[in-house]
Amino acid sequence: MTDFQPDVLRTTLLRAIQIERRNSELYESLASIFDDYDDSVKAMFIEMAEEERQHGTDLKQRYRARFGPVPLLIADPKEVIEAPDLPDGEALVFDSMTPEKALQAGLQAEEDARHFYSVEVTRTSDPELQQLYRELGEFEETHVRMLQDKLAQATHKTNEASR
Amino acid sequence: MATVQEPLARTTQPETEEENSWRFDVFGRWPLLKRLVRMRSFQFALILPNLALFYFFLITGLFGTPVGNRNMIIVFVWILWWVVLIAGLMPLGSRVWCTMCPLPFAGDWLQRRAVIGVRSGKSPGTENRFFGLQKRWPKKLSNIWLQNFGFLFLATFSALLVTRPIVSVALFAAMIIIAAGMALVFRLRTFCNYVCPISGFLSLYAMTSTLELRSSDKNECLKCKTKSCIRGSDKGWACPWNVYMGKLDRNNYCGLCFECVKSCPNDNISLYARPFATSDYMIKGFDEVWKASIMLVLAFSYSVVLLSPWGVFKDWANISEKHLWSGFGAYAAGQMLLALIVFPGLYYLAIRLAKWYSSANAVSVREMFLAYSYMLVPMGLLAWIAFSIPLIMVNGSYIISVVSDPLGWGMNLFGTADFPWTPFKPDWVPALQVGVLLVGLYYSLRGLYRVASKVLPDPAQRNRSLVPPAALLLGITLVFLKLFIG
Repeated sequence: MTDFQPDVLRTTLLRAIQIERRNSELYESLASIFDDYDDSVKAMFIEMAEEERQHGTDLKQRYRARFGPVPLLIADPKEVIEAPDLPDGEALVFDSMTPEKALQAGLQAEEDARHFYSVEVTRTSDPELQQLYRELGEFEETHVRMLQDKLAQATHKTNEASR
Repeated sequence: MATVQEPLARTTQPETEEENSWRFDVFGRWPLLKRLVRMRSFQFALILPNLALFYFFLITGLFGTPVGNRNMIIVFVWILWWVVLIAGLMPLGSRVWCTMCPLPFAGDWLQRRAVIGVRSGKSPGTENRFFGLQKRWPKKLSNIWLQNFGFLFLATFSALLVTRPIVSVALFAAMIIIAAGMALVFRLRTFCNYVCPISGFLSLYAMTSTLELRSSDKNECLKCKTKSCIRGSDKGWACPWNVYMGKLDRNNYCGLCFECVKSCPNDNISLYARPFATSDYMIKGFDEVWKASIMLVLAFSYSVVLLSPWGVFKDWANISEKHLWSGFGAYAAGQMLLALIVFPGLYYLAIRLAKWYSSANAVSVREMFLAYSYMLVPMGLLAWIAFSIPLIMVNGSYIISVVSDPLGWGMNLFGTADFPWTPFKPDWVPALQVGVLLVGLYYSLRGLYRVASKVLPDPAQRNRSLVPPAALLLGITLVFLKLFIG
């Protein structure tokens, strides 16, 4: 693609920051569904909300290093790209949510984001933009690995407890 | 400018061409209906006349004649309501009965302290202020097993229910009290979700319905930070059924209260019309499989008792008049055995055979047992409709007489009290029953094919796996045909 404009780098990174902020709020919202209902699921969603906030802070540092002060972001991104959600519309009917499922929801969102950036690398011919997409893809990759580790630990704990 | 593409297309997409051509947005086509539904008074306006009628039925049951076919509660509830519910509301309107059901009304009021308005605030998991203890329903009971056993138990005593007005009064009074008590202790509509025996079969057969309430764009739900459909807002109560619209993919537990239509900040919930029995195929648990089994066996059992030439079964079931305790015991035990063990066993056998014959090693028996059980849903519903045809065509004339004399006191309010028992075209009944049963067989086979195609993508394996369950379906149809036409 040859339709690259200088602003694209900036807006791409800003969008990534917006997504992390939105996701942090999404996790908080999901956590509140489990208020006084399932503390372990709620705690897991709150933990992930905090992680997303941290990811946002990391991305802001990258932005500052490249472009200077981060503008005040008011609107949410229009795109989904990465968004955690309940795995099932009837999860509360059957009381089937577990911390593992909460982690899986987070993992799914991170994997979606990683996939998105890996596709975007191939869609642009601009080296700078390619490099940014690669960076963001790697950024998501670390989150994927982190959640995979947490999921493995949580599953192990559950298995131990059920023995 | 470099463009940004959506990585995932998570919109509500119909799966087949047929669904595509039929499915349409009801609110989009009739915006007036949407305006009505969004009014806070909508549900109450539907419940109110029903509530008045229902309490009038209770009065007729309490103070009216004990003769069943002369008392309004029996004739209106067990003939008219039942037929309208099973043959009309259920297949065409999903759980629209739950929209107007008067049973949980008192419980809702105790929880909300509001009839029409909505109260924002904080209660566990919601953005609304609810009253009562707001406890969590036990996880082990978060299924429909209680409803399964409850319905089976009531069905065993159905002869009492449909002949003795006072027994019907006792049942409905008990349901109102239990619903209200549970609303004070537990969150949301716990009674409806897990206890109400009517709700159990409504949830199963709602899968076939030509209506569904869904989010219009799943991406909007993914991005939604308020999740107001399940958490509520100042515009609408948190979903009383505890359903999350962002991922809802079947009708079973959506009670069509339309609160989410009011509370969604993105105006993203709509009512869709769709073809009959072609959308919700997924049975999620053994409780639902057993519900399908219980309903099918009860349709069979009722047909044997009420429609077959074998009067002995009717005498056994009719404990209140015949007092044949050993016969009643045999009837009750036989019915339970058939519904809980024999029929599920036959179905299990069919699935084992299907797995063996198709050499489907990658799929577990459990997975096939759950998935293929959808085939029992359209068949069960249509068997019930077939059973209900003579109910209305043969005994429907009682409605005309009882409407003039609801308490059986000799009144003649509309001049129809002496309308004689007049079966309507009784010679048409068997032909209609056969037609309805064959429709059930068609949709069951169609559903079976669809679920098999998902479970076993290999066409050869899929086709072989269809043989035993299809044979079972054919066998069920033949048994019903034998009962209906001899």
